[in-house]
Amino acid sequence: MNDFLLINNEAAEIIEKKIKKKYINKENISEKWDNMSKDFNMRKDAVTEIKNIKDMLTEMSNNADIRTVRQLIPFGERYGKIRFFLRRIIRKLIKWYIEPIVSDQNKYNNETLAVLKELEKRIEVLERNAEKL
Amino acid sequence: MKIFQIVSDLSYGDAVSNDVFAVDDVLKEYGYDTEIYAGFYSDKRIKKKIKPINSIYNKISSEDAVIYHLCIGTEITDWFKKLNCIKILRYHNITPPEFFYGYNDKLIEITRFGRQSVFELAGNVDFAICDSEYNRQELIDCGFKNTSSIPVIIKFDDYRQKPSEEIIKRYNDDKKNILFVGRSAPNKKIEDIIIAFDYYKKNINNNCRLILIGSDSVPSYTEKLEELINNLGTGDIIRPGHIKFDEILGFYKSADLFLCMSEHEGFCVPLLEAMYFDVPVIAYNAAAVPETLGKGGIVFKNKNFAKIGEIMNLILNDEKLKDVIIKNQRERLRDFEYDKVKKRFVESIREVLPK
Repeated sequence: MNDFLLINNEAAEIIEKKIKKKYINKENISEKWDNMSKDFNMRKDAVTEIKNIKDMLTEMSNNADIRTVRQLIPFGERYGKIRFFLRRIIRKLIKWYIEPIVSDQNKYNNETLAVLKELEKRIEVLERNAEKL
Repeated sequence: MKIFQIVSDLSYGDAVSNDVFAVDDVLKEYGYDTEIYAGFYSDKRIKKKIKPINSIYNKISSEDAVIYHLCIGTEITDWFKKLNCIKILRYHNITPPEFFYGYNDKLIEITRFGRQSVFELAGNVDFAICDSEYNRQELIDCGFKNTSSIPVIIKFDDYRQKPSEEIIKRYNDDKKNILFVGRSAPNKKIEDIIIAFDYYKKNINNNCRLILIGSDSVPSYTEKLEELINNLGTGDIIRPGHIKFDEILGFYKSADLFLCMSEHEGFCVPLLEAMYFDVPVIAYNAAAVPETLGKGGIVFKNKNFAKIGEIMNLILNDEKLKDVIIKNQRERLRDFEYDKVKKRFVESIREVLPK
């Protein structure tokens, strides 16, 4: 086994022989690109906060619309079938009360989300302008 | 006796979902009564084949078997652990949380929870079928006893469908097409593909194009990749996102080289897809990648971009070398033939099913 290629077949052997000739004097050129890869991951921590805001907004978008019907998971419970049945009945009985509230909440969530997205865009523009200065 | 397949998320076209459907077809072919249950699924193309996980209540008897596909942290794992039936784990691996540091806290939490739950499953399943030896070793390290390694079941006939002519027409020009297929996630190290391409284009051959196919699964990572692309100013980097199947086939047909820099893969189906379309593969030696490639493809052990660029150039311009690689890849691909894998899977599963 060579230090760069995993010699797992004849093609790797051919490449190994040919690359030695071609690669001479290119080590210094490579350094710039090798460092780019390292930098990409180092800078990861510095921009965590900004990225998290974006991810949080994506997450909020996914959760903004609250559903009135949730999956009831009956498995693993004692008297699970009866409990499951009772829960379904209760859910149907309170539907007239819950749904208008949820609808109002959804309206508020979506409006808030729209404002946050707009603010995030504006922050981004301001940051870009600040960088130019 | 019935065989239930359970998975947390099912979508159209990803490796785990395809494996679930392929296992279902295989088991039905061998006369087993089967059903698929999933926690989340929304794609219209697969809806008819799946039932919601909450409707599984009271359906599993002690004589039945449950195959649980594990690839992410979910509460289903705990429920599966407590089941009183024949329990088979199909382990596809879970991306280590450290890849998501600085990108997505929720994914860190889910993947950490998922990997912890693997330890808890040890001693609580009858059998574990991993899709690679790499994954199997992970389970053994977690304390699993009865394990086997059988690759993802792939219906290569699906790839015989007509590829998108529009894609072929647009990209089959004099430029060398370098391809990668995989969702945009930090473990795939797409930044290294972009950097390798940048080196190749700026120092060796300007007449080339990079095609990155895959859905955006971590928005903050994708954004950082976009920033890198803009800063480098390389040009000719195509990112069509999540596309139709015939378009993927079109891109494979147009590709001259498949470059994989991924640092964590439990199997890596796109490597086999590239081999199927006779696209020479070069890949970084990490996780299950060298195992999947076997004697096909070229594997490098460190990311020296000048050397990677030279290898790319050699393969793209030396027809004899390309032929040798393709010959090796075709030979390796035989190990993953649908009938072979299907037979192995059924033989393996029969060991724990009642006679």
